[in-house]
Amino acid sequence: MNLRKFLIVRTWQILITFFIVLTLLFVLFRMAPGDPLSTIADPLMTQEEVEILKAQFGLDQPLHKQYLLYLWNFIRGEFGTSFYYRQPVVQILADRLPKTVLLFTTVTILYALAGISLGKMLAWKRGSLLDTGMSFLGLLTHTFFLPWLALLLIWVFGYQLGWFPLNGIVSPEVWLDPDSGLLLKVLDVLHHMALPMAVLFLTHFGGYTLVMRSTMLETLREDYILTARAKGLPERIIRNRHAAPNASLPVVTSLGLSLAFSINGGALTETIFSWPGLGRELVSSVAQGDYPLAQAAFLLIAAFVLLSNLLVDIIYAYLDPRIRY
Amino acid sequence: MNSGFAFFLALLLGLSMGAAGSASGAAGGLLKVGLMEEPKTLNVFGAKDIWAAKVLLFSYQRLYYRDPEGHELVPWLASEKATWDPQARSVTFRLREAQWDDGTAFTSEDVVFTAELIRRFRIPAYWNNWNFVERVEAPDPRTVRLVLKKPMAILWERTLTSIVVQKKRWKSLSEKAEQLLQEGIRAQEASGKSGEEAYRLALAKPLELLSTHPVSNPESLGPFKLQQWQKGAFIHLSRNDRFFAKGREISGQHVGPFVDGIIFKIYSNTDTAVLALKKGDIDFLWWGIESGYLEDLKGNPNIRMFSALKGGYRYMGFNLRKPPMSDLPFRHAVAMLVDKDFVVQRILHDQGCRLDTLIQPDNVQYCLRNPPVYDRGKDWKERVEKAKSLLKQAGYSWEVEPVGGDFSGQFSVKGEGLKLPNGQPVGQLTLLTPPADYDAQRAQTGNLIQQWMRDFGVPVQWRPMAFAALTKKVESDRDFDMFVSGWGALGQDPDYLRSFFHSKGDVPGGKNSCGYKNPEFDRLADLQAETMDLEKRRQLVMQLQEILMRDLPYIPLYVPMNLEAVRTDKFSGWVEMPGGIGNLWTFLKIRPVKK
Repeated sequence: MNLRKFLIVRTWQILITFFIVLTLLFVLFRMAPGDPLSTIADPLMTQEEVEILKAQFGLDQPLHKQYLLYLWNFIRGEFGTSFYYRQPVVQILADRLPKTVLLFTTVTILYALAGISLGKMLAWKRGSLLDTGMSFLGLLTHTFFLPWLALLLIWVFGYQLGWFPLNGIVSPEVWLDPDSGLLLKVLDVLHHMALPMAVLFLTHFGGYTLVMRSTMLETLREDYILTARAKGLPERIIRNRHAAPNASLPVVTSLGLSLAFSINGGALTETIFSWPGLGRELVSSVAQGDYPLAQAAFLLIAAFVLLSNLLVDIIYAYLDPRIRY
Repeated sequence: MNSGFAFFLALLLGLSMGAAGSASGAAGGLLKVGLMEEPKTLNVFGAKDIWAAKVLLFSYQRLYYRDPEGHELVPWLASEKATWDPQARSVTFRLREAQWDDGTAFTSEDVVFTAELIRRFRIPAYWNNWNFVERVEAPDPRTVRLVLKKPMAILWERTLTSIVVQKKRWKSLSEKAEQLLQEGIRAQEASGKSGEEAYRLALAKPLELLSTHPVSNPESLGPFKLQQWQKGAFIHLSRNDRFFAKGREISGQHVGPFVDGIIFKIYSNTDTAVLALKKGDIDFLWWGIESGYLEDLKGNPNIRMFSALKGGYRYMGFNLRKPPMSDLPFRHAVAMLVDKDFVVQRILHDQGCRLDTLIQPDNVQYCLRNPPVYDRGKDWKERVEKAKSLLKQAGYSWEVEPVGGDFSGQFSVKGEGLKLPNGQPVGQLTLLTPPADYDAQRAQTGNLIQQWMRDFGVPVQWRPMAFAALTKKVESDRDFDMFVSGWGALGQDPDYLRSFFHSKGDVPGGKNSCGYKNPEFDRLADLQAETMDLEKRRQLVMQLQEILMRDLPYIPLYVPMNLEAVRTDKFSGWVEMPGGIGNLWTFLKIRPVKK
């Protein structure tokens, strides 16, 4: 199968999978116990007011009608209005997504690059003190309970030392100051990103380092590496051009999925650092039964995951010329 | 990572730390308040969350407001007490001279417009306060007259404390909504519906339009106006120089505000919010703090704690449609076994008070003074004996009779096999509660009650479940035996007793989830609702509480405390009122501390 044919087949697969996800999301939310109005309606509302709200949200319609409307809206690119925000969900997602991407996608790229570089180096210097020390450290930080580490870093670097803000994405003091220019505001955001990035980096880089180290060690035992050495190629070339690209194939799969899932943020990290991203919104919309918002957020993640899988397949072909579709 | 990249990162961090440092203090005269979430919307007709209510408190004002000393309603936007004319079923009041933040005069037209908007489109959460009003008139720009379909006592506490919006701001939107309503009615009529049904079905679209209309800068009649909302980060309110009460004496209070503005910062977890308070990043955390933080905060000389009862209560409800919950002696026996003092001490760590009636104790006007207290004057052993004798007299029996121990909750002989008066064993019962991550106190209370009832011989299983699922089971499906839940934000008007226990509310979705039916209660509840004389109404409400405490569809359990913390080194003058210091008066009275 050539690449074009492969892409056509995969696109169909993706569309079918997406439709299944679309339907499953509708069914799952309606099957979940509870009533979305139970957390909206206040105790002094009359039953008639609750009925009016139900009609306003379209919850008074039979399920099959709700489903058809849901599909029809999806086809028209409408995802509805959030029960709680009273805003189109597209607007809410458009507001949250860039903040999540800024933090989580940036840190995912950072820890993946650091993990790959470090794993490559450790495998090359296997058995050394650096290898033992860094492997242990990577394993240790990988097992840290994220909320504990986050609170610890906030307490030490935010509260005790006062080097970093405790939470949030910007400081009102900077943003309300008319003398603050763009650079100051950008630096303020970076300042706020430091602690959550440190937490995410520390808890994730070890995984990439260890995977890369292990696959690199296997690759270094391959015959073609011996051949390269026999040819008298420099060590740097053997490591970076011959061994590392092959060894990084499993890491690329992992990175592709990590990048896709990075858009859902991390509810725990976002909650602890009051980061106004998608992860926290996702959890609260599910808990509150805000169907339109939760459905749209999950659909967005599903779309990203499916597309990134496709992208990983394509990148595979470039990284490993033996792979043909 | 090469050293150049590391250096670049370090440089950025160093610069950003310097940047934050150089800008700190730029917002010197501002009060910084911590919220746990950001408002979902600032559209007053769409907002359903408490965070929006907190921010909108400073913009939309009410005709009457509770004063901080006597906690009585005093004229706020109104300039005098409302006059009730029983013959004409009308209430008339005058308005103060005031201006909206854009300089437009506030007139009776604004009040009439607000009332008509709510009534015409039956706006949920507001309409219940206005649905008994026949018409609203503005005889002159300073006078408002409400003519009622029938007398309704909630007029005083709820209708006259409703918010007022600006006609100028909302008029064009209301016209669009009216257009949608007319189109909707025509469409419904075309499909065979008519009259009230067609009108009701046509409301969805205009309501959607009104509640989803984006409001980025709500109009303000209040002490502050919105300056900037940096989504996900902070909200900045600045002082409204056109605020009608500034510098005046109202109800003996000299009214501010005396601060330049308010910054609301968003903290989505209590740990970080408490650290922010200790560090001085915020001056007031507008959220109840758990008692676990108390010791830590008490040790800080710059922090002061305030405690007040929360505006609601926790209770245990019975499904009166099923035996044995339908038997009054059974409910009395359970009430004997529930040790509220133990719950308050051990679960609430004394941060709350026991409750023996169904109106909060800080509602001094309507709370029943001497309700029947089932455990009064009896030790645990005697209470177990009393519970036992109540059930025996009703014909219940045990395979093994329980015997109370020396300590609360202890049984020297655990009961087994409770049988109904007809000799059938009592089947497995369930006691529903919200889960511990939603409300640990309610969940633990449910667990304790389960233990006491089990040891008494009642086969009961405690079942924590997601709050929304619990609400559905109890309020919609009526599929439950007993539950521990709570009401919040009930307000001062006691008419909620009618909603919760009137037999008309025993329909799916109705508030009478217990299925309580008592014609005498219904009669008195209807009567109090229409009694405009406050003293007469008070007497009726007392009778309602006596009936409820005799029939026990609910066992009232406790009212938790609302613990709030402020920094004392920057601002002073916090005003304590029922519900806590997070009230409008606090923000009208606090001043920067002179150093």
